[in-house]
Parts: sequence; structure tokens; C-alpha cells
Amino acid sequence: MHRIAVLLLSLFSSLALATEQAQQIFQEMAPSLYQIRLIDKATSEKSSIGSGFQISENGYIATNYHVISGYAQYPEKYIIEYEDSLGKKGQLDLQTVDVINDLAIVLLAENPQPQHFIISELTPEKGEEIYSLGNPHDLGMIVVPGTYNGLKKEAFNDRIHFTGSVNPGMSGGPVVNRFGEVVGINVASSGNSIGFLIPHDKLANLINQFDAQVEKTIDEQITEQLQANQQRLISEIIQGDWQSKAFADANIPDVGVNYIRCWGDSNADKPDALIFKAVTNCQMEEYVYISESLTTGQIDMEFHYFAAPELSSSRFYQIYQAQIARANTGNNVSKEDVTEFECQHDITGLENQSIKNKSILCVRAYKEYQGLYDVMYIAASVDKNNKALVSHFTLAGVEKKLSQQFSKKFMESVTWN
Amino acid sequence: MELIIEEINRGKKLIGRHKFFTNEIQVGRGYHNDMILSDPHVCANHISLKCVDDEWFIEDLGSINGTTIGKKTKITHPQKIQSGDVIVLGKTQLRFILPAHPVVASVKFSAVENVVEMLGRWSVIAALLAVFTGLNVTFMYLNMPTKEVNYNSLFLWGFGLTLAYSLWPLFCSLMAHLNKRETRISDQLGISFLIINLFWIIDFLEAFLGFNGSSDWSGQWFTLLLAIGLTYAMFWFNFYIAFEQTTKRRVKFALGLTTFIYGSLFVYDLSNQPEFKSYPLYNSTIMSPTFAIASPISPDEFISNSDSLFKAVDEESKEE
Repeated sequence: MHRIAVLLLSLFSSLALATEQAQQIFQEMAPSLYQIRLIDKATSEKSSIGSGFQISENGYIATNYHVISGYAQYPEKYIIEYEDSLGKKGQLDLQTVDVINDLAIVLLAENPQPQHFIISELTPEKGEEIYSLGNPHDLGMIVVPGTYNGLKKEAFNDRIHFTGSVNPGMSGGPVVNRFGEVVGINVASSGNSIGFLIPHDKLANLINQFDAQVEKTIDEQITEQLQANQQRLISEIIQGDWQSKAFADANIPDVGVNYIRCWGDSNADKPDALIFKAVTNCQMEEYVYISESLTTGQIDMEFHYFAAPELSSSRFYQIYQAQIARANTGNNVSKEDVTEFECQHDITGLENQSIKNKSILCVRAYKEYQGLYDVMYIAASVDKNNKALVSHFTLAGVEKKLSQQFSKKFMESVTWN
Repeated sequence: MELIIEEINRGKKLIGRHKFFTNEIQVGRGYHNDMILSDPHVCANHISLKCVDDEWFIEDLGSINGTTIGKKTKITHPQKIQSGDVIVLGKTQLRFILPAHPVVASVKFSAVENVVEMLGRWSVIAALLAVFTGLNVTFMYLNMPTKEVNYNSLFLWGFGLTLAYSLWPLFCSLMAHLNKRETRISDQLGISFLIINLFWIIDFLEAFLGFNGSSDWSGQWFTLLLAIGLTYAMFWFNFYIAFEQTTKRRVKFALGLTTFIYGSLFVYDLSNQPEFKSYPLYNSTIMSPTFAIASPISPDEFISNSDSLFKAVDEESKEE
């Protein structure tokens, strides 16, 4: 009994302490917090909002790239505006971006106030109390206490897993430890009090490269970042040791990276189905956001198995044919971003004759980010009378050479067993 | 001397033909005439024809609307007739022919005519219709994605389709009938369904080439040309059976209709293209292993072929 009372007391006091700390941090740091908004020039209305925080005494402010992506794409259409804790408004200049980590640095050139956030040199401990600051839904600056839960598992680009609610509008706001030092930047929420933050070292990197970055145009920066990111991603996958994984009567590749996750389904529960179908879908759940119309950086793989031992092969192939007619890539694009697809098809086979496919490869080029392509491949096996295997992948935003290396490795790793 | 009088309509089509063995012929609306016309613009005693020394003369008997030779020359006094002259009285046209008038050489039954006659036999038509309906039903059955097959609706659709395709040859017969020509329904059905069935072969060829060929050559132009050729041939035969035309005119009509149809299809296709296609368009034809005769290429070759794809989209992206 006594023990429980003590336990309760200590819990209370720590809660009270947390609230007190949060209030104190908020009061101290409020002058360096800003609401960042894109104003549509034609209508003078807000077109998107987010949060930002000052990182130097001469007026540099960090925020999310996606908050100001409209301006980065169409600088003639928008202006970037801030509103500080006292309600003062003014214009900001875009300096540099990091689309991979969703970061941007903007400059408040006129009379910046000197107070600013310090970026932490240490990574928080798992379970440590941290505080997210921002302006959710345009409701005013708030502070949300939460817990640092380490880096998200199964991610290619690091994200902090934060227990605490990060709401729309808080994007770009800082997350600080109890000393008020920045340990992360709000970026996304996954509902139910699960939030994701960009680790502070990504911002530190961007600041370190600042001088070299500002020499380049925003488009050049984005092109280089996309190139480096896909280089790192695709090379890692190609150089990895692909295991062969059984899928019905076939072998399909397991590329062995944890950020590509597979899901499966089949129609085995429908006994009156004409054809047995099974599907495995492996995809990367993260993507790189460039604009409302363009997302890139994903990898998708899909495998379908069809079998109908009692069906004549003519009927089987008629129905099977309809299944491969409409393959597409998963990323968003618009006419301004990419060319249309060019496709080729042929009958392909492996040396050991373990499978014969009708293979189709389609490619489209990025217009703004030269040297990058979306690549789509789909192959349908045509060597068995009553069963078939479809193998399909898409790579978004990759270089020609790497995509070809990937294609070769993929084609060689799909076989009948 | 005998005189042949042909009644012709304004399209120069023959309506009636009369041969007279007398030396004097009266023509008019009155019942006492040798040739009685019913045209209300013709007078009771309109013209009289007389043979003098083996030559025929025409005289207008003071009719209200007059009589002309050809379209212009009004007959005011007895005038000599040449074989082949056409006169107009009221709205009626008459052509005079003398017995010595030359006739064109007789037409031998042509190979085309023999083929048409052969296809027009009802046994042949039945076989052609059976092939068409049978193949349609078979393909509908093969494409049925469910275990349960409703044969009633399958056959209903099959017959319905055959009926729909018969509309064209029936329409051609109707046109012939309206032109006062023999309808020749069986000939029209025979030739039309023979050619429609030949389209199955083109379909098969297209699938076979699309499946076995590579994107460098899938024979799409080849099969399109074949299809256009067949369409032209069908129209040519339809017109041959339905209308009496010169060969030149028939070729012109058939070519015109073929161009119109493929042209409309092309324009329709073009206008239906979205401004920007965010999805790939590719040839997804596959056939069962029996038809897979192409020897497969290696992944290496397939991928090195893709260099040209990258080149093509590179050029496209730099165009803007």
C-alpha cells in the first residue's frame, strides 16, 4: 500500500514536472517559432501552412520541404510568408532544400530577432521525454510532450518514431529535449498518437553543406539529391544477396532489405473460382515527395501465379491474357513532370530454359530532373499449358544504368522450380 | 421499215421497248394511237412518225408542250430521225432505234461472276454463317471468366451478332432493289460472309505476330494493310453485285467508302487520345505454348535493346 502510494506520487510528480518543463520551454522559445505559409499571389490567400523555427541569429529558419514545395516548383505563383509569436508578418526567401529528408531552409532577411534554437549534438535515449512544437490546423502555437522511441524500423531513410500526436500544420516545427535543444523536426503522423520526425543530424548535414548548396538552383539541388538517393538505394539492393523464395510452383527473388515489405493474398477461399490466383506484392512504403503532382523514389515488385489444371489451355490463356493488359507504375506524375512511356516487348528466356516469358519493358524520362527515369517491367510466362507466372516491377526515379542492372538481376531470378 | 421505240426514264434506264412494223406510227395520250402514253403533259395527238423511202420522219401535231430532239432542238416541221435519237415530249423520253443499230459485243460469264454465283448457293452461305457464328460463340466461351457457363445467352449473343453482320449485305440488296436491279440477296450474303470470315485469319495473324514478334516488328502495319485490302474487296463485290457500274466508277466508290471508314476510325482514335498518358501502352498479346514459335532472347539482349527506349524518351524530354 505504502509502495503504491509512493509510486503514484512519483508518477504524478514526473507528470507535473513534464508539464512544467514543457511550459517553460515553450515560453522561452516562442519568439523563435514561426508559422510558415505559402500565399497564392493571384488571390492573396493561404495555399498551405506549416511551422518553422529559427536556427541562427541572422534569420535562417528551418521547415519542411513539403510546406514550401509549391514555391520551389512555381516561384512565380507564390510567396513564402511567416507570422511570428507576436503576430508580425513578413516575407521569406527560399535558400536550400533537401527533398529526401523533407527539409528546407528559408531566410528572414529583415531585422531578425536574435534568439534561436540550438541543434542538439546528442541523440535522445529511447523512452526519453521530448517536446514537439508547432501550429496545428492554424490553431496557434502549441507544445506536445511525447516519447522518443528510436528510429523507425524498416525504413530506408531514417525517421524517428515519436509517441505523441503530430498534427497537420505542425509540419516543420522543432522537437526538443528537456534542455530545449532540437532533436528532430515534425514531418508526418500515422494517426493514433504515432508521429514521425526527421532526425536532427539530417538538418545538421544540410546546414553544413549550406554554402555549397545555395550556389545551385533549387532544381539542380533536387536533381542531385534524387540521383544520390536512388544511387544509394538501387546499388544497395543490387549488391545485396538475393535469396530465392518459393511462390507456388515458382521461385521469386527476396531482395533482402527490410524496407521492402511483402504482402500476400490468394483466392483459395473461393472454391468456385475458375482459376486459382495468388499474389505477392512487395513494396517500399516510403517515397520522395517533390510536388502535389510528382512523387518518386519507390520500388514495387509484384508476382502473380495462375493455375487451372482442369481448363483447356486455350481458355486458360484467353483469361490469363486479360490479367496483364494494364500494368502501371505507382507514383504520381503529371504532363509537366515526365514524358509518356516508350515500351518494348519480346519473348525472353533463361539459358537453362527454366522459364519462357513474354517480357515488356516501358520507360519514361523526367523532364526537369534529367537523367532520371521511371521504369516498368512486366513478364508473363508462356511455357506452361495450365499455369502461369507474372513478374512485375517498377522503379521510380532511377538512372538508366542502375535500372538496367536491376532489370537483369530481376529477370534472372524469376524461374519455375 | 421497222422502227424500235424505247421508253426511257430520266436516268436513261429502259422502261419499255416496242417494235413497229408499219410505215406510220401515231404517238400520244389518246387511245387511238399506236403507242399510248400516260404522261399528262403529252397531248392526245402528240407526234406522228412516217417512213418515206426507208427513212423515218417525225412531226409534231401542234402539241401544247411541244417536242424536242435531244434536249434543245424543237421540232417545228417534219424532221429526219437518226438511229439512237432521243426525243422529249412532255416529261416522257423516247429513243428511236433502227434495226441496223449496232449492239455491243456480248459479255462472257466472267470468273468474278462464277465466284459470286458459287458463293451465292444457299449451302455455301449456310456453311459460312455456321463458321462465323461458331467462332464467335467459341471465343465468347473461352473468355468467360466464370465456371458457370450460360449456354443460352452465349448462343443468343452468337446469333444476334450474325444477324447484326447480315444487315450490311441486306442493305446492299435493298439499294439494288431501289435502283430497279435484281436484289441478289444470296450473292450478297455469300460474298460478305466469306470476307468477314477472312478477317478471323487476320485477327489470328495479328495475335500470332504480336506474340512471337518483338517490338521491332510485330507486323501491325502488315495486318492493318491486309484488313484495309479485305474491306476494299468486300465493298467492290457488294457494288459489283448491286449496281451496274463501269469498273472505274466501282473502284472509285469502293475506295471512297474504305477510306471513309478507316479515316473515321483513325480520326475517332485520335480524338479519343488523352492529352497525356500517365500509363504505358504495350502489346500484351499472349497465346498458349502451342503457338510460341519464336526462339527466346536472353535477358542481356532484351536489356541492351532497351537502350533505344531510353534514347527515345531522352529526346522527347528535351523537345520541350
